Amino acid sequence: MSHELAPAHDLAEPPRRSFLVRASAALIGAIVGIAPLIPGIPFLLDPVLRKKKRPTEQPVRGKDGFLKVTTVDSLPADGSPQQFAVVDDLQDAWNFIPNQEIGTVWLRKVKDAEGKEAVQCLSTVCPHLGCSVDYKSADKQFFCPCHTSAFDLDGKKLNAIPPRGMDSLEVDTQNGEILVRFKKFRGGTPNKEQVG
Amino acid sequence: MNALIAWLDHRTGIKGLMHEALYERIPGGARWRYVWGSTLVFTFTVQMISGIFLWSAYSPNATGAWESVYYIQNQMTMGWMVRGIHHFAAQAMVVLMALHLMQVVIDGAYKAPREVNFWLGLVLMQIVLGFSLTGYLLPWDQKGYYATRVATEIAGATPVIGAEVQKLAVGGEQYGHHTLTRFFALHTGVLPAALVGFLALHIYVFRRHGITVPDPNRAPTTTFWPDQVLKDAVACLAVLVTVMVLAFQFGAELSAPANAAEAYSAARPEWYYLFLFRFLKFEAVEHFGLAFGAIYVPGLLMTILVLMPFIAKVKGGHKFNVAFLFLIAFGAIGLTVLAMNEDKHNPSHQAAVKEALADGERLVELADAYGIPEGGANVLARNDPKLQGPRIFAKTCAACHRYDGHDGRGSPILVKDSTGKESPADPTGTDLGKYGTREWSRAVITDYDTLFAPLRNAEWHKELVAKPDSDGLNLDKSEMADWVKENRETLLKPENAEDLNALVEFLTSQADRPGETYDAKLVERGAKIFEEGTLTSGSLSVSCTGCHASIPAPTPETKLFFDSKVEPNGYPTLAGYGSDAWLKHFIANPGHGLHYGAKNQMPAYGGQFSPHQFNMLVRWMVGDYYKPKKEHGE
Repeated sequence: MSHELAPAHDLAEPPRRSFLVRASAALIGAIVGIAPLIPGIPFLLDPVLRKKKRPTEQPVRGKDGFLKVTTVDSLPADGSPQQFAVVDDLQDAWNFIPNQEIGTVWLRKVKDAEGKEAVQCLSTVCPHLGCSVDYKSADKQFFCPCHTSAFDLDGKKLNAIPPRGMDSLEVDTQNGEILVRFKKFRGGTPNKEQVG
Repeated sequence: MNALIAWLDHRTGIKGLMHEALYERIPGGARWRYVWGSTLVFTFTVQMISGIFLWSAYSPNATGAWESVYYIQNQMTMGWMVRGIHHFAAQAMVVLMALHLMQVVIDGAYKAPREVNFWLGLVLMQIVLGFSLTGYLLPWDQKGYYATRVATEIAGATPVIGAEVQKLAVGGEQYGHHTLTRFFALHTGVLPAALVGFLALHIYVFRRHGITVPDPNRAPTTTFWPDQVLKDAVACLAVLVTVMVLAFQFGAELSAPANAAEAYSAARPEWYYLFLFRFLKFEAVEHFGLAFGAIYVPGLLMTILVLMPFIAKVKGGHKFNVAFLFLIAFGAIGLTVLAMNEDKHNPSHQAAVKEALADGERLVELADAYGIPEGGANVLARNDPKLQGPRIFAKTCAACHRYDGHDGRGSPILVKDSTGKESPADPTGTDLGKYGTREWSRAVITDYDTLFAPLRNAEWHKELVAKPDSDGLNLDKSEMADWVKENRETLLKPENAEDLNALVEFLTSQADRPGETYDAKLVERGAKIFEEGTLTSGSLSVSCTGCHASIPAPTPETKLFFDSKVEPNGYPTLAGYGSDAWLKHFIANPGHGLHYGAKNQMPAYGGQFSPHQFNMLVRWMVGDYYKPKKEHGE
């Protein structure tokens, strides 16, 4: 039977077909070819398209986003920094997990412009590329082990590696408790740009 | 453009390849009957694309699979659509495969020299069935979980190596993380690779022999492009539209998360396996054991399929093959219809299906509201009164009581008579579906006999009626029933309508249910009638406090009426009637002096429930559970 069906390119010339047949074959072919991709692309782009930031009805924790971190008394009097974990309710895709350590901050006692005692809070996330910034007590410097970014005690950059100083976070002290408004910032940019 | 094509062609031979692909000769002209293969390739492509999208959001583990599918379906942009397409295109593929096989056999396209390609097609069929079997489990919902348990049990019935086969499929002895990871690896790695490989061979061999033309002189010879391409594209469009419509109209369902501790009585395989499911249920089949029905018989049918090219060489063999295939097709359709019809007329199955869907929807509601704990969605399910209450009611309370006529979960309670015919069982306790509502209160004071009539079905009540002198809760001698008889007419007078409403409001307000508001003015008026019995027109023969203890006004400390001190006086106390605290106290010790005292007939359930179960049951009965905002005020 197969001898009847010579290979296609043996035909001298493919039969001519009306423009309409070709056009509709191409058009419908294109539609069925592309259609399955259409809902998938917004699906993949979900993280940037999503309008509802919180998928649940769970309330935002802390008044105005200020979270209790520690007490003023627990900070060293000499103004050396100490690292503390920030505890919040964690929303991770479908999971809602209360009381999770969601990040850390550097806290230290400082004097404000009027000479009064205040608390300084710096994010531990390096503004360079997001590694975790360490403190070298011998040098009284913040130091990032990944790409050797260095910062002074106030978070000002000491070398050209980081694009900006360490990111400060808003602090509030109430009845001896330290509250921090924990935020994340983009790395690698000269300006502090909040994420989310 | 032409220069670019020439450049590319010189290096790749693309022109020849395209020519080869597009200008395949089709003697007798393009025909609709040739479209099935193309629609299958198309549907498989759709599955690859939608599958990879889903892959980017799916998490194969026992506390994340259902959860990630829930997230895809309900939270992610167009997720329901992507999943809907994958779900329905999978089913379309099975249908198209059956049609393709039928067309191949009818046209004799399996005969020499195309035997090998026919066998390649049969291998592809097994792969596609493997896809559907593995994919059914991945959402890790009750439906997929129990269907897979059955499927792996069947694998376990394999002679000699059954136990090992089952253990390998399940990833151990227990269904869990590794069942999912193994099924996922099969579904997204092994099977797609196998399918692509065999499909390439299938198409290669097909092109080698060309299309099987039943009637080459039907029309002038044409080529694949554009005539057959147009027909194929239109057929693919029809498949696409069907899949889209189904995805829009019904969506891919997601029942409650897999739970080994929660029976799933709605368990059925995917609809295209129903015929096998029904076949296995025949007593004659069961008689020969699981391996016979689930392995030997399907194996024999498959063997005949495989042998078809040889059978065709015998005189009349082709006719036999076609007849055989039609027989299987009609048999399968018949069994499917039979199975569906039986399910349709099986109230327990219907109730179970309804419950499974409602459970799934409930879990979605809860996940939307609270997010899912680390332990997975089953933690939400375990702590939801609306899900757990009915189950406890059905297991314990429904032995006597009903809930809106059913067992709390929607199933009727049936008894079999001597002929084996099923009929609804007589309840021996009240129907608690309306308990604690205004309707209930109204029935207590105007229609007591009807409300408590089920008690008459109980043996203890029949005995009491036979011995009228003995003490007990005899409805014929009930003071309350007599009171209703005396006062019914007065209460139902049109002039007293507002008084009756007030009394009902007062009694109902005792429950003080979450989310319920009571008209304070009516409550106050009702409280006065409860004490004094004076109505607009006439008065009650005896006021409520003539028997029942007075109800002290609640203090701020004791928001619940029942917490305030009420002295037992031998008549059921109505303070806090229908509230959480009242119900717990009553269910734990119904024979307490505050309730029915010595007349009580209900067993005390104090020790039978765990504190958690007790909480779930009572909170369900009083409506204390999460209600989505849109349903408020309904």
